Amino acid sequence: MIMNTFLQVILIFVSTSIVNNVVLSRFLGLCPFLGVSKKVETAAGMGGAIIFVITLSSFVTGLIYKFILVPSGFQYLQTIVFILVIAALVQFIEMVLKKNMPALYKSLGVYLPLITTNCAVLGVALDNVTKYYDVGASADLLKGVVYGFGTSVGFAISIIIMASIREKMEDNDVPEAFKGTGIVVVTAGLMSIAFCGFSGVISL
Amino acid sequence: MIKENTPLERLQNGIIKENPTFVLMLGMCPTLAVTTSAINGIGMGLSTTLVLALSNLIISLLRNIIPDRVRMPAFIVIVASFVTIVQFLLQGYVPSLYSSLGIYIPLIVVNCIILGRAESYASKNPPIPSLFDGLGMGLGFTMSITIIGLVREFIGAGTLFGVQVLPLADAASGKAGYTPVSIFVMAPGAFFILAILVAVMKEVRLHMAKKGKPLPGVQGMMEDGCSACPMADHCMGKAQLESAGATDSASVKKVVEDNQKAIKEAVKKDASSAESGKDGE
Amino acid sequence: MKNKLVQDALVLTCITVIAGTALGAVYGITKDPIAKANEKTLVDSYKAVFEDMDSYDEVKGFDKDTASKAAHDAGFTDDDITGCVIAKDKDGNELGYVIGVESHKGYGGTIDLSMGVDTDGNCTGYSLTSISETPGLGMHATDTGKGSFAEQFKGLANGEYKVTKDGGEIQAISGATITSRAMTNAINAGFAYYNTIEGGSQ
Repeated sequence: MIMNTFLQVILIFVSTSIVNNVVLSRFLGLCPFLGVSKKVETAAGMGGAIIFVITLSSFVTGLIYKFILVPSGFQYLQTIVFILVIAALVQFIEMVLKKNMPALYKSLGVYLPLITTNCAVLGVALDNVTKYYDVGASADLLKGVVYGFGTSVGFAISIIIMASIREKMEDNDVPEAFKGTGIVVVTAGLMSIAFCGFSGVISL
Repeated sequence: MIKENTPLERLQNGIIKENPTFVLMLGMCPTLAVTTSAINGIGMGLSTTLVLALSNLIISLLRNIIPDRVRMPAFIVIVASFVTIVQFLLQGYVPSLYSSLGIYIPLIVVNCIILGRAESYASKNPPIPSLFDGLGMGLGFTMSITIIGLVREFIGAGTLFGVQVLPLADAASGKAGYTPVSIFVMAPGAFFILAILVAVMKEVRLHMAKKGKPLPGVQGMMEDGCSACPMADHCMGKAQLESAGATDSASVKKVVEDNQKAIKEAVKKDASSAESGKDGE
Repeated sequence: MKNKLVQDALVLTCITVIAGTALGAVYGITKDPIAKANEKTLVDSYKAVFEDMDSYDEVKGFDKDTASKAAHDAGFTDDDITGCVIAKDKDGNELGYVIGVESHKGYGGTIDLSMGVDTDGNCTGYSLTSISETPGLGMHATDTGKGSFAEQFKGLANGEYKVTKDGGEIQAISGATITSRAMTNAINAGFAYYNTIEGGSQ
């Protein structure tokens, strides 16, 4: 039984981080992906912040859904509740980090406010509801958190790859019209093709 | 020239002059995700239009009541309510569309067109122009993503609105015909379409600027990180980070420190003004 | 001048409460149409697999978890059984079972379908109730008529099937092996569940 759960958790992780990559196959979190990927260092910072926020928020929204919304029959308020919880959570994380972990705050802090309206965070929370929290008795917080963690690791992987490609590409002779955003999006498309290679390996 | 801020001007502005997708480049997540077919594009576009128009109207009506400091959460609550209402309506009356748009319906909440318009237009203008601003922007968005959907569907599957217009080749029976470039309806195709769009718009921009009629600036999508984002003034991290050219760790650190100093000062000022307020009582 | 914080909080609370109440009201209004729409999709799919169906009875004591477990135990761990009804024609004769299957193996998410099993234990076909596969590829699973993917399942005898790529007999939709595999396995899961109920009652 434990073995089985363990296996499922691993599968969820691989599936969300690589096979169904959140940016490259589902287009969630596209803005920071294209906007903050100029340098590997900033990209890694953004990735770290996203991992932190999404993992925590999938846990918190899971708790709220399971122990507040479902018992009170207010499931239909989920969108409002989740977005507010996420906004509050980001503020809260920022405050806690600033006070207790200045080192971590220095590396992740600036990215935190960017994340509130990032569609990947809300997307994961909503995904979790349909996938894991809303299926009767088998509601599963652990899987939800792993799903969130995997998704955000997938985001971090792709933004870091993107940033390293962009650093290499900086001096390339790109056609005028494609300079800047254009070539970045073409690169994203090629990365997306590469990630397509994983599709069907595992799916949930 | 049509007079500023009249309903007609707002409609025209949203559909053509400041088209959210083609000109402002806002809301790219849903644009790429749901445009696998034209029908999905229309469904998503109209749902967004409804949310945009109604939330613009309500936010404009409440613009003098909502305190400045909590306006973002207030806007989010209003937008999220309308999104949920649209979700119910689709689920009840157009279930097939509801199931094919899936998670992207609730994600309308974080579509930056909506919060962007709330922030930059509805919170500063009277209700009627705001309503029409929302309608115009929404229709512009609908039109753009329907066009993108049509292109992707046509190249990727040889269909228009789900009707097979190009007879398909069939290797088994040796029938000659069109072999769909199916990558266009898959994720990579979306990126390529967007890249072409960005490149074309850049050319158009250059051309118009030369003619002395520059287009409004890009608001979404990155060109300079998020600094052009409509929410830039409120999202503390962004502008300081990218516009300061802070891309290495040293300058990031400096920006963060400046940022913190500014916040501290602001808080101090706030506290002292509250103090003086109390004195006055 | 009152404390600013209190005022902010008050306005925000008011807006949230009003929004919440309004949502509750809309929820109440749309609840019935949503339930009706869902039921209509289901009944339409029943009719798609049993043309002569006039009415249907829920299978007594049906339980999602036990039913899904039956499919999982037979090796189809990616499929859940979501429902089972007995279809009847207008004279009240039993036509067979309609089994609802949900596959988690689709390319674009879960696929929900209703599959018909007639009184001889043969599949009468399937009808999709929820699918979001890629248009032009996996979406061809919704096609009906001659030469379509769906056509292959009509009259299929009780058993276990595979797509040709995996050494089976089901012709996959071209370019959409994943969808075809998911569909085929969903049918297998349906049969597996059918065997547990039919086996039990005999």
